Amino acid sequence: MGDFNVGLRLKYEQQCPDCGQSDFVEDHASGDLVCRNCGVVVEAHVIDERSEWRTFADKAGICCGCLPAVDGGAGADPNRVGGPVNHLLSDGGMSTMIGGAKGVDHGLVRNLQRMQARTEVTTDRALIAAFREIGKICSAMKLMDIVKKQAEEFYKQAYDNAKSIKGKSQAAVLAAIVFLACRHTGNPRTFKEICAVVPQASVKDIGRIYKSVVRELKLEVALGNKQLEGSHPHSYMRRFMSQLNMTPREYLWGEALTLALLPQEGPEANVHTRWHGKSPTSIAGTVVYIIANLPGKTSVALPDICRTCGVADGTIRQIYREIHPHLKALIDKAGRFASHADVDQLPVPIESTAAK
Amino acid sequence: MADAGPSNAVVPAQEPEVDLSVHPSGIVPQLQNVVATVNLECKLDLKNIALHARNAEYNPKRFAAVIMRIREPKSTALIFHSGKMVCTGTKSEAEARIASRKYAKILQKLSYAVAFKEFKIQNMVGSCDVKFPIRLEGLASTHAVFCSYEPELFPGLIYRMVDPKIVLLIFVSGKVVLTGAKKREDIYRAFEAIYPVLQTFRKGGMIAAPNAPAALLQQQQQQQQQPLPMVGAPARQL
Repeated sequence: MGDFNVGLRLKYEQQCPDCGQSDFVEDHASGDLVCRNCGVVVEAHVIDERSEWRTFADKAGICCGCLPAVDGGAGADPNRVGGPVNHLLSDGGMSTMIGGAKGVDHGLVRNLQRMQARTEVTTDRALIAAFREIGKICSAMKLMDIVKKQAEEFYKQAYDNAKSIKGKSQAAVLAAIVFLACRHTGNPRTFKEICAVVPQASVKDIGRIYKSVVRELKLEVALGNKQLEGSHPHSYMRRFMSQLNMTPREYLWGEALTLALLPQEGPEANVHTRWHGKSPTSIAGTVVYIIANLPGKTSVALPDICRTCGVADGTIRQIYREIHPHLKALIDKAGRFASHADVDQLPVPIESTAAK
Repeated sequence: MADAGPSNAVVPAQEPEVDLSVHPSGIVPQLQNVVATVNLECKLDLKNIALHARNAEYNPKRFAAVIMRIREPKSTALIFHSGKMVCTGTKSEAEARIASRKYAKILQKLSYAVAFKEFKIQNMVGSCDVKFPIRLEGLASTHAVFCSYEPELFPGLIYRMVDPKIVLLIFVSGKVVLTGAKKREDIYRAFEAIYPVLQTFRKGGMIAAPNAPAALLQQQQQQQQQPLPMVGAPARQL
């Protein structure tokens, strides 16, 4: 055998015994490691350490690595290697359970299962349940795996260290953790978006728990700039506009307009405007409204904008009223995607009737 | 008169003399609310009190205390069965003490053997205006350890100062609310500590009206025209 690092099994560190090259190909179908140069099979029966295969031929029920496998039926496929190692769980997430087989006394199987359940670590059970919920939230919001893993890590950290989450409603805690993970990985989501997926938690609860977790885990410095990204409407434009079926060119215009509205750097960052300090979703909604109402652009109804962005229509109208006088200058700064004549065709903002 | 010093007297904002040795910034935060507790050391029958005292409300299903109000000094007291009382709504420490004594007097008239022990100011809230707009994102990014700025949740930046242990709510308009103080000096000290920081993150001025030749860039003179001729919107004060 060529000299190789036993621990790593990286094909690139091995040397072919015949020709000395390190160019290998893994044949996953047969579990072989083949040298590309001379064709020698360097390793056979390679153990696949990725997550388990699922063989749907089995009629006994679900096994996804963390749930117990129900007693297998006659056609049960024995090729199960379990789920991927989860280092956050104390035993790595071992999923081996006792299962019956044909002819085995069911009473015995039940007794053994009961014995095994007793040896199970209870802290893990809570973690596993929480991870499952986090997985549900992430898939409902179509978040990437990296966000899910980050959320699981944060949950474990918070579970161990932060006293503040003990006693709060589980839904709100998980929502806050997912929100934190989204922000940390650079995919900020608004509180209202998370609230839509986790209806049992209110925005207020999620916000409160989020702040206390950040404080207790001392993540303020780590979050740093990402907190600013989260509070600028720029981060939400694409998502909102694509949910409203607008064209990609309009996404770019929207983002450019938000940057013109709320410049972060340069001398213009020092100018104070009436729309500074407003919630980023409100500004985003107003920008969508402006672009949607420009002649020739995808037209979207105001109630749809309100629903997607989570903003009231009165808020959009009010911010539109503030922005309207400056629109021409702002659009020029944002790359002149609409002529001044187009801007003139925008609906005129209604004068405010109610006294403050 | 000019010696406003670190005393307990109320310093009204209109008074032109500000002691610059105590308030180098020239701005004095005004106290808006003082919360004090006192132990009357006497078990009280809340139903009896609610029946016989004027301006008392008692709804045991909602809250287990009698809520009593007096007009001078304008304040509200929560009086509990154990004899402990919380007095809120006054504008200074002296007023809080006077108000608490008045409540104790009212209970004394209802023939309860009240004492007046352990009077303690628990919280003081002050507010002031630095008169210039502030760049909250800049402040949040530089002082990330102390700041929490979530415009989705709350329009103000929450600054938790460590020494003195005060929480400041800082708004874009330049208004600042300070809370969590047990002593008036803490509020003054906290404001003096934050004032230079706010000056660092001062914004240039309000955006120019669109019919001005230099549409977006800013001059100092524009600051005076605070209520700009905009379509309809009245000047919003926070």
